[in-house]
Amino acid sequence: MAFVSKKKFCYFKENGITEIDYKDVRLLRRFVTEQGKIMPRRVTGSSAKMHRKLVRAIKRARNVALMPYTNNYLES
Amino acid sequence: MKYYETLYIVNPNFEQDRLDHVMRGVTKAVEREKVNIINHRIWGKKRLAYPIQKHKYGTYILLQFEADDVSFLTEFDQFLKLEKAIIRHQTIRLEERPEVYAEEAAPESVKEKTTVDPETEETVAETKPEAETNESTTETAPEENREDQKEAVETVTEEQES
Repeated sequence: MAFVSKKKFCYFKENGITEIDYKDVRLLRRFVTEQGKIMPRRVTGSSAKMHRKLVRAIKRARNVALMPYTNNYLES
Repeated sequence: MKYYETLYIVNPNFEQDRLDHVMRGVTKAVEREKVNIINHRIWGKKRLAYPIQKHKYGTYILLQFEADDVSFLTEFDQFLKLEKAIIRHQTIRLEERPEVYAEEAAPESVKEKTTVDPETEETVAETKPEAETNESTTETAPEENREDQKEAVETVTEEQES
Protein backbone atom coordinates (compact mmCIF):
# COMPACT_ATOMS: atom_id res chain seq x y z
CA MET A 1 0.00 0.00 0.00
CA ALA A 2 2.81 2.28 0.85
CA PHE A 3 4.26 1.99 -2.63
CA VAL A 4 1.06 2.63 -4.53
CA SER A 5 1.39 6.20 -5.70
CA LYS A 6 -1.69 8.25 -6.28
CA LYS A 7 -2.28 9.34 -9.83
CA LYS A 8 -1.17 12.96 -10.01
CA PHE A 9 -3.06 15.51 -12.01
CA CYS A 10 -2.83 19.18 -12.71
CA TYR A 11 -5.38 20.84 -10.48
CA PHE A 12 -5.65 23.81 -12.82
CA LYS A 13 -6.17 21.73 -15.93
CA GLU A 14 -8.85 19.65 -14.21
CA ASN A 15 -10.72 22.76 -13.22
CA GLY A 16 -10.13 24.74 -16.38
CA ILE A 17 -8.15 27.50 -14.68
CA THR A 18 -5.85 29.38 -17.04
CA GLU A 19 -5.00 32.46 -14.99
CA ILE A 20 -4.18 32.60 -11.30
CA ASP A 21 -5.05 35.73 -9.37
CA TYR A 22 -2.72 36.55 -6.49
CA LYS A 23 -5.67 37.87 -4.52
CA ASP A 24 -7.33 34.45 -4.47
CA VAL A 25 -5.67 33.36 -1.26
CA ARG A 26 -8.01 30.44 -0.68
CA LEU A 27 -6.76 28.82 -3.89
CA LEU A 28 -3.09 29.61 -3.25
CA ARG A 29 -3.25 28.13 0.26
CA ARG A 30 -3.62 24.67 -1.22
CA PHE A 31 -0.23 24.84 -2.91
CA VAL A 32 1.75 25.92 0.10
CA THR A 33 3.02 23.86 3.00
CA GLU A 34 2.13 24.57 6.61
CA GLN A 35 5.30 26.58 6.91
CA GLY A 36 4.30 28.71 3.96
CA LYS A 37 6.69 27.13 1.49
CA ILE A 38 5.63 26.66 -2.11
CA MET A 39 5.08 22.96 -2.77
CA PRO A 40 7.18 21.45 -5.55
CA ARG A 41 5.67 20.42 -8.83
CA ARG A 42 6.42 16.78 -8.13
CA VAL A 43 4.05 16.97 -5.16
CA THR A 44 1.23 19.04 -6.63
CA GLY A 45 1.41 17.48 -10.08
CA SER A 46 0.62 20.75 -11.78
CA SER A 47 1.88 21.44 -15.28
CA ALA A 48 5.03 23.47 -15.76
CA LYS A 49 3.16 26.37 -17.28
CA MET A 50 0.65 26.61 -14.46
CA HIS A 51 3.31 26.09 -11.84
CA ARG A 52 5.17 29.15 -13.10
CA LYS A 53 1.98 31.18 -12.88
CA LEU A 54 1.26 29.76 -9.45
CA VAL A 55 4.70 30.68 -8.15
CA ARG A 56 4.34 34.22 -9.45
CA ALA A 57 0.93 34.57 -7.82
CA ILE A 58 2.15 33.27 -4.47
CA LYS A 59 5.12 35.61 -4.48
CA ARG A 60 2.90 38.55 -5.29
CA ALA A 61 0.54 37.60 -2.51
CA ARG A 62 3.50 37.45 -0.14
CA ASN A 63 4.54 40.97 -1.09
CA VAL A 64 1.27 42.44 0.09
CA ALA A 65 1.00 40.29 3.22
CA LEU A 66 -1.86 38.18 1.91
CA MET A 67 0.32 35.10 2.44
CA PRO A 68 3.23 34.53 4.79
CA TYR A 69 6.83 34.27 3.67
CA THR A 70 7.23 31.86 6.56
CA ASN A 71 5.08 30.66 9.40
CA ASN A 72 7.99 29.90 11.67
CA TYR A 73 7.46 32.91 13.87
CA LEU A 74 4.16 31.42 15.04
CA GLU A 75 5.94 28.50 16.65
CA SER A 76 8.54 30.53 18.50
CA MET B 1 -3.79 50.42 -23.80
CA LYS B 2 -2.14 48.64 -20.95
CA TYR B 3 -3.95 47.67 -17.82
CA TYR B 4 -2.57 47.94 -14.35
CA GLU B 5 -3.65 47.00 -10.89
CA THR B 6 -2.35 48.57 -7.73
CA LEU B 7 -3.11 47.05 -4.38
CA TYR B 8 -2.16 49.16 -1.41
CA ILE B 9 -2.56 48.74 2.30
CA VAL B 10 -3.59 51.68 4.43
CA ASN B 11 -3.05 52.08 8.14
CA PRO B 12 -5.84 50.04 9.79
CA ASN B 13 -6.56 52.72 12.37
CA PHE B 14 -7.87 55.10 9.74
CA GLU B 15 -11.60 55.64 9.80
CA GLN B 16 -13.75 56.30 6.74
CA ASP B 17 -13.02 60.03 6.47
CA ARG B 18 -9.28 59.67 6.41
CA LEU B 19 -9.54 56.63 4.13
CA ASP B 20 -11.48 58.73 1.66
CA HIS B 21 -8.84 61.41 1.95
CA VAL B 22 -6.08 58.91 1.16
CA MET B 23 -8.05 57.47 -1.76
CA ARG B 24 -8.65 60.96 -3.15
CA GLY B 25 -4.94 61.64 -2.91
CA VAL B 26 -4.16 58.45 -4.83
CA THR B 27 -6.68 59.20 -7.57
CA LYS B 28 -5.16 62.65 -7.88
CA ALA B 29 -1.72 61.11 -8.26
CA VAL B 30 -2.93 58.74 -10.98
CA GLU B 31 -5.30 61.00 -12.85
CA ARG B 32 -3.86 62.62 -15.92
CA GLU B 33 -4.26 62.49 -19.66
CA LYS B 34 -4.62 59.07 -21.23
CA VAL B 35 -5.07 57.41 -17.86
CA ASN B 36 -8.46 56.00 -17.10
CA ILE B 37 -9.40 54.62 -13.70
CA ILE B 38 -11.56 51.51 -13.99
CA ASN B 39 -11.95 50.50 -10.36
CA HIS B 40 -10.97 52.09 -7.10
CA ARG B 41 -12.50 50.44 -4.12
CA ILE B 42 -11.89 49.33 -0.58
CA TRP B 43 -11.32 45.59 -0.56
CA GLY B 44 -11.66 45.34 3.18
CA LYS B 45 -9.80 45.24 6.44
CA LYS B 46 -7.78 42.06 6.62
CA ARG B 47 -5.35 40.42 8.94
CA LEU B 48 -1.81 40.70 7.60
CA ALA B 49 0.10 37.45 7.10
CA TYR B 50 3.04 39.08 8.83
CA PRO B 51 3.34 42.37 10.72
CA ILE B 52 4.21 45.45 8.68
CA GLN B 53 5.43 48.45 10.64
CA LYS B 54 4.05 46.67 13.71
CA HIS B 55 0.55 46.64 12.25
CA LYS B 56 -1.34 43.36 12.53
CA TYR B 57 -4.23 44.43 10.32
CA GLY B 58 -4.48 46.53 7.21
CA THR B 59 -7.14 48.10 5.04
CA TYR B 60 -6.69 46.84 1.49
CA ILE B 61 -7.60 49.16 -1.36
CA LEU B 62 -7.65 48.00 -4.95
CA LEU B 63 -7.05 50.36 -7.86
CA GLN B 64 -7.33 49.25 -11.47
CA PHE B 65 -6.59 51.57 -14.34
CA GLU B 66 -5.64 51.68 -17.98
CA ALA B 67 -2.87 53.81 -19.37
CA ASP B 68 -1.19 54.53 -22.67
CA ASP B 69 1.81 56.39 -21.40
CA VAL B 70 3.71 54.34 -18.84
CA SER B 71 6.35 56.89 -17.86
CA PHE B 72 4.37 58.18 -14.90
CA LEU B 73 4.37 54.80 -13.14
CA THR B 74 7.73 55.39 -11.47
CA GLU B 75 6.46 58.73 -10.27
CA PHE B 76 3.29 57.09 -8.99
CA ASP B 77 5.30 54.42 -7.24
CA GLN B 78 7.36 57.12 -5.57
CA PHE B 79 4.19 58.85 -4.43
CA LEU B 80 2.85 55.65 -2.85
CA LYS B 81 6.18 55.11 -1.14
CA LEU B 82 6.21 58.56 0.37
CA GLU B 83 2.58 58.53 1.50
CA LYS B 84 2.80 57.76 5.20
CA ALA B 85 -0.71 56.38 5.47
CA ILE B 86 0.13 53.62 2.97
CA ILE B 87 2.16 50.87 4.58
CA ARG B 88 2.56 48.63 1.52
CA HIS B 89 1.77 48.81 -2.18
CA GLN B 90 2.21 46.73 -5.29
CA THR B 91 1.47 47.53 -8.92
CA ILE B 92 0.92 44.76 -11.42
CA ARG B 93 0.39 44.63 -15.15
CA LEU B 94 -2.85 42.93 -16.15
CA GLU B 95 -3.15 40.94 -19.34
CA GLU B 96 -6.81 41.69 -19.90
CA ARG B 97 -9.11 44.55 -19.18
CA PRO B 98 -10.50 44.11 -15.66
CA GLU B 99 -14.23 44.02 -15.28
CA VAL B 100 -15.88 47.04 -13.80
CA TYR B 101 -16.58 46.22 -10.22
CA ALA B 102 -20.26 46.23 -9.40
CA GLU B 103 -22.07 43.08 -8.34
CA GLU B 104 -19.27 41.25 -6.62
CA ALA B 105 -19.58 43.52 -3.62
CA ALA B 106 -22.78 41.99 -2.34
CA PRO B 107 -21.81 38.30 -2.18
CA GLU B 108 -18.41 39.10 -0.73
CA SER B 109 -19.85 41.19 2.06
CA VAL B 110 -22.44 38.49 2.71
CA LYS B 111 -19.70 35.91 2.95
CA GLU B 112 -17.81 38.04 5.39
CA LYS B 113 -20.90 38.52 7.45
CA THR B 114 -21.63 34.82 7.54
CA THR B 115 -18.10 34.09 8.59
CA VAL B 116 -18.33 36.69 11.30
CA ASP B 117 -21.69 35.52 12.60
CA PRO B 118 -20.57 32.14 13.97
CA GLU B 119 -17.82 33.85 15.88
CA THR B 120 -20.21 36.24 17.51
CA GLU B 121 -22.52 33.36 18.31
CA GLU B 122 -19.63 31.52 19.87
CA THR B 123 -18.71 34.49 21.98
CA VAL B 124 -22.31 34.77 23.09
CA ALA B 125 -22.34 31.09 23.93
CA GLU B 126 -19.12 31.47 25.83
CA THR B 127 -20.32 34.40 27.84
CA LYS B 128 -23.64 32.84 28.72
CA PRO B 129 -22.32 29.91 30.76
CA GLU B 130 -20.16 32.28 32.73
CA ALA B 131 -23.19 34.33 33.61
CA GLU B 132 -25.02 31.18 34.66
CA THR B 133 -22.18 30.06 36.88
CA ASN B 134 -22.21 33.45 38.51
CA GLU B 135 -25.91 33.04 39.16
CA SER B 136 -25.47 29.56 40.50
CA THR B 137 -23.09 30.79 43.17
CA THR B 138 -25.84 33.01 44.50
CA GLU B 139 -28.87 30.88 43.73
CA THR B 140 -29.13 27.13 44.06
CA ALA B 141 -32.43 26.66 42.27
CA PRO B 142 -31.25 27.18 38.67
CA GLU B 143 -28.53 24.61 39.17
CA GLU B 144 -31.03 21.93 40.10
CA ASN B 145 -33.10 22.83 37.10
CA ARG B 146 -30.13 22.44 34.86
CA GLU B 147 -29.31 19.08 36.37
CA ASP B 148 -32.85 17.99 35.69
CA GLN B 149 -32.50 19.14 32.15
CA LYS B 150 -29.27 17.23 31.77
CA GLU B 151 -30.89 14.07 33.06
CA ALA B 152 -33.78 14.58 30.70
CA VAL B 153 -31.41 14.95 27.79
CA GLU B 154 -29.55 11.83 28.81
CA THR B 155 -32.73 9.81 29.02
CA VAL B 156 -33.76 11.08 25.61
CA THR B 157 -30.46 10.04 24.07
CA GLU B 158 -30.72 6.63 25.72
CA GLU B 159 -34.16 6.17 24.26
CA GLN B 160 -32.88 7.08 20.85
CA GLU B 161 -30.08 4.56 21.17
CA SER B 162 -32.37 1.78 22.28
